[in-house]
Amino acid sequence: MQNSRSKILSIALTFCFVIVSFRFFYWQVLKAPELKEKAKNQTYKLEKILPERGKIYSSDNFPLVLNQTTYQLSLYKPNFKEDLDKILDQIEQVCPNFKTENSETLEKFKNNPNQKWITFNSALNEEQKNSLKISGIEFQKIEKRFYPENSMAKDILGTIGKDLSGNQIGYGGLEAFYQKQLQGKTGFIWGPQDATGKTILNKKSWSSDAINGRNIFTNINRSAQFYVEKLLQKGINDFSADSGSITIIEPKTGAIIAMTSLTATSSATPSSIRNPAISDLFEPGSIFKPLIVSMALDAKAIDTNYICAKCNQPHVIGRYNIGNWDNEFHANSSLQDIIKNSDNIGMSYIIARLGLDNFLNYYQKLGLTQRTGIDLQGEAKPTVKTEWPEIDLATASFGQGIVVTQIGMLQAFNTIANDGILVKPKIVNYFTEDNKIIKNKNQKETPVFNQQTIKDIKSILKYSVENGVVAKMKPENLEVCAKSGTAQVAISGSYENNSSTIASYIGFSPCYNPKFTMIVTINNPKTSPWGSSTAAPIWYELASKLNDLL
Amino acid sequence: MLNKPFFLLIFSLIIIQVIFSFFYSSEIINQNNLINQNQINLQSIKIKNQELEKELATLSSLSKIEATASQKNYKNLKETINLQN
Repeated sequence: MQNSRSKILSIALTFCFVIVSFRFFYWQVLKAPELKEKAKNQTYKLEKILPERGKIYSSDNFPLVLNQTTYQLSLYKPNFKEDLDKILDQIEQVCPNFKTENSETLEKFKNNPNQKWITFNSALNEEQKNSLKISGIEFQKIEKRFYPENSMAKDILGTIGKDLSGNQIGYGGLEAFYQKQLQGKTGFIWGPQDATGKTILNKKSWSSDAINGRNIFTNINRSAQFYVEKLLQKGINDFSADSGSITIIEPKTGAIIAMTSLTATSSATPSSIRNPAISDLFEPGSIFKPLIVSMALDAKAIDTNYICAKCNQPHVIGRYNIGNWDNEFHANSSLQDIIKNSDNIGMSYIIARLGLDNFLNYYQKLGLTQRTGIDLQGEAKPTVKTEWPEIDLATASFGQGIVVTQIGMLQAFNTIANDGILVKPKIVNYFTEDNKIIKNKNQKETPVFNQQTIKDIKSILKYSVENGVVAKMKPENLEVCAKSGTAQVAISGSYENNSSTIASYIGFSPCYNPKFTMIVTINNPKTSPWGSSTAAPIWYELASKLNDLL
Repeated sequence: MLNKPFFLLIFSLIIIQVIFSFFYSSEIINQNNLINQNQINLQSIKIKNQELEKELATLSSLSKIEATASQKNYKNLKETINLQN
């Protein structure tokens, strides 16, 4: 009896042992990989190391954009160990005006017993944060951009914001164009964590260092940019204009020295992501004439002895009459006088000699059919006509019926300044990464006009400045080759008599080995519609400054 | 009789292992705390550096110079400097 009992007990124990062994086998062998993974996920953590975004500098190595670490302050009622008013007094001591700035939200927070948490917009610095080690106060770190020159060059710099995933991303200007270079590479630490959640670095940890973003060193001359912005704002106010743009380029290299666009009510905060100098298309008007004359001289369609025998009357093309801006006729005008008087009739005869094929060939060589490729986000592509009736070719000779961006027009005109060679405009000179200089690739230079053409057109432009209506504005010590322009703005495809105008002045100084090429565009000036009386005075005032600066 | 030394050996081995693991883990924790502290210090220095860079740039910015210097006190240097010698 006893034997059978002990046998049953042994069998039962063996059976239990086998079951437990199977269970152990199940958990320890079959389920091992899955459980190991779960355990790792509970004890290991992945920590991101954020890189520092690259800074942006002017040509004198002055920072135009820096990084700033700020802290956003929050209050959490359940953690308060003292009265809210006492806590607020302590905050006020460290951050003056905190209570006044947040009076409304504070009042609501105080009076609402159900509201346990509040976050304020005030940005505190490191020192302020460290002085407020009080129970119930929490901080959130926020990375921001800081602009030492305030809104200077805002169109060039762009701004930063967050994408849909909450990552910092550039919008407009350099911030967007060079997003990849500026953002750097995020680093990681993956390893076990201790009870406080800090990563324990051991042999089983894996880490990859963060790589900070590249710093950008631009060609922007800070002093020139400063004057450009001051004088453009003054010009817009003085001439009661809607807006205006100025761009200055270094003729040999295409380096952008300064660029700005302002409106009559210019915003003082650097938040703009649209740059009208590269994204607005406009009809250039008479500033286009020197390019047509250069094309005609280069193609040998005319020579410097050209005389416009038919300039004593309007040029009739079909049902259209081409006349002059001052309703006058300049009989037997020489090439120099056609440019000096900005003679539309003379220009329409010159382009007729040049012919459509030659015109389109040079138009394309001057880069006017495509984007310039400037290193800024948002450049518009010029639209080019496919049909060219005779009247359209004639109006193109004085810059109407064609559209360009300001930067496109400057790039084309700069070809005259740069001895017939087209260079692409560029904002960035070089990058630095860990103190290593990284240069941008050299850009292709395209010859467009021959040397004789350049010599002739420079002489014509110089004559036009020294004998035209702008002669009295030109400082004696400056040698200038330039042209004014006034383009009517088409409304629904036609030009009304009282339509607004775009007044421009484009040129370079000195005429030989120039230091700069500059374009000034004023939109809808109300004191006078003409480029020679609105854009030109700004151009000459700036030219005097640039002559000393560059 | 043999059981006693064997038991003592096992027991002392366990004690040694526990002491060693305590020592070793506290060493890891110390090292880790040191790394964490250094990282906090580095971060703080970086932020201080940022602040100084920001302050220097603000003080030497053209907008600051323009705001603080009174234009009417300027005299044209070319006109006023008289080089006698």
